[in-house]
Amino acid sequence: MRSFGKIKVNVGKIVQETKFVKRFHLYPAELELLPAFTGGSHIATYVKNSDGTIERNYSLVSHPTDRTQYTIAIRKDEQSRGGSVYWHEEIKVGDQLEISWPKNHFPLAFKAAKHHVFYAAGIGITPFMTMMEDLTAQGKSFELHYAAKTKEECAFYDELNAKYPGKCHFYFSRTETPKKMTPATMEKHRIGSHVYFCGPVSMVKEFRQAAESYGYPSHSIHFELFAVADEGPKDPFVVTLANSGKTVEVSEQETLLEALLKKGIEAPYSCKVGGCGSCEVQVVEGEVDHRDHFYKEEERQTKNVILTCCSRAKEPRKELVLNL
Amino acid sequence: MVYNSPVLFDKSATMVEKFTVRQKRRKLLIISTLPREAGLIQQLLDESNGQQQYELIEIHDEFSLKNIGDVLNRQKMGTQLYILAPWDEAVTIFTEAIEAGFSEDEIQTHILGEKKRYVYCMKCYHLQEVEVDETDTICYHCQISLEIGPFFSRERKGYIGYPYNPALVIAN
Repeated sequence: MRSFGKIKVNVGKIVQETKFVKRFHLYPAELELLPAFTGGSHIATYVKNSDGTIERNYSLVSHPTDRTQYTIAIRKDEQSRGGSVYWHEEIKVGDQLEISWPKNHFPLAFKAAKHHVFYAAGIGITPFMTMMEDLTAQGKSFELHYAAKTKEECAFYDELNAKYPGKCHFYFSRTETPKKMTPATMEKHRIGSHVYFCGPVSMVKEFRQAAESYGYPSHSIHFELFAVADEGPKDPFVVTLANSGKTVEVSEQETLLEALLKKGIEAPYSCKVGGCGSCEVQVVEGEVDHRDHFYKEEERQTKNVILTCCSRAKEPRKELVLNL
Repeated sequence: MVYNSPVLFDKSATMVEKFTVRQKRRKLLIISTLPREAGLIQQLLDESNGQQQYELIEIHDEFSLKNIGDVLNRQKMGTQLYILAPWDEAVTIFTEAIEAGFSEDEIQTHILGEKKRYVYCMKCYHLQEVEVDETDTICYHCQISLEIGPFFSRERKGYIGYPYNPALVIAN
């Protein structure tokens, strides 16, 4: 019988791509082949350390038709909560860990688009690696705009140039002749173009707003975030679970989702950055301070829901009753 | 065109009685085969009030209509297309626009005169024109009676025609 639980994999190879980026090759430990996936997919990784399990989502960068292995690329971020640092410093060839089945919250608009344009900043290149493979296989039109500090810090630079000559535009900000990737190029994209953004929250926000101001319909704008946008203070609040009557206190250091999971409540979730909607919970009472990128403004006004991974209770009551 | 690309039909979401400005679009592209409907275009331009650039293409002959794809293909993102034409010409322009990459959200269509309606037979897949208010018909190809359903198929380019046996219909 097929299981949709976690998959055990072995770390088979580690490649230092750039000074800060490592590529990890993961091979199935028990299965013959890994599940198929489509361009833009990611996996959740679960690595055990002395404090428990570190769960992180990473885009797949291996070829979508290669089911013998998955490859992920991780940038070491000293400011991170520990996931990337652990992967860089502790994970060795031969280690075994668990991963989720592939999920795709950032799919290509295959049928609708005449031309696909990718805008990547830094490690935001990763989901586009598989998307470009899929488009190439189907003979579709695309171009890549990719910003990094230097050529040396630009992960996959040689591979991209070799695979997609003439389709990649690089922008290096810390060179003798710095070149900045700006949203202005979007003014020139032909009708039927779909744009895709991946990078820091500020970059994605800037490009989304620019695309809207140039008149792109919302269905032509796609993006993926690696972090929750910092949108205001994180004051503590209290939620009551309508089904059990339990109360959960959410401190300023944690999200509602983290507080629920800590209490052993089986709350749904996936991306943890307010982008996929998987953690949606019905709100029975109280006002929500929406901080996600998932709902449109009219949905926020009409639906009584909250994404527990990022949204909080609104002042002044700071209390919510949830249908959990 | 790809499988289930949008097609123009009598209840298309692009059908409008009056053109309206989509504030976020940068450009208005107006394609008209009806010069005498200048009032509708002027109304649109008045509403825009110079906020967007516009391009007006007036089609006076078949050659221009056949080459409308060239105009559509050179458009940039942020363009809103307005089609002002009788049915058959509107279908040609609409189809070329979809082929160029416009979505239904980026098109408004105003038809002068009658809209056409098509039904396809679920038995033989023959497609035929029907009157706007017809509820059932006979398939020209296989002669079976068809009840015209409410569902439009983009693939078949017509409403679904459900075969039935008129002898088994109980009169009220």
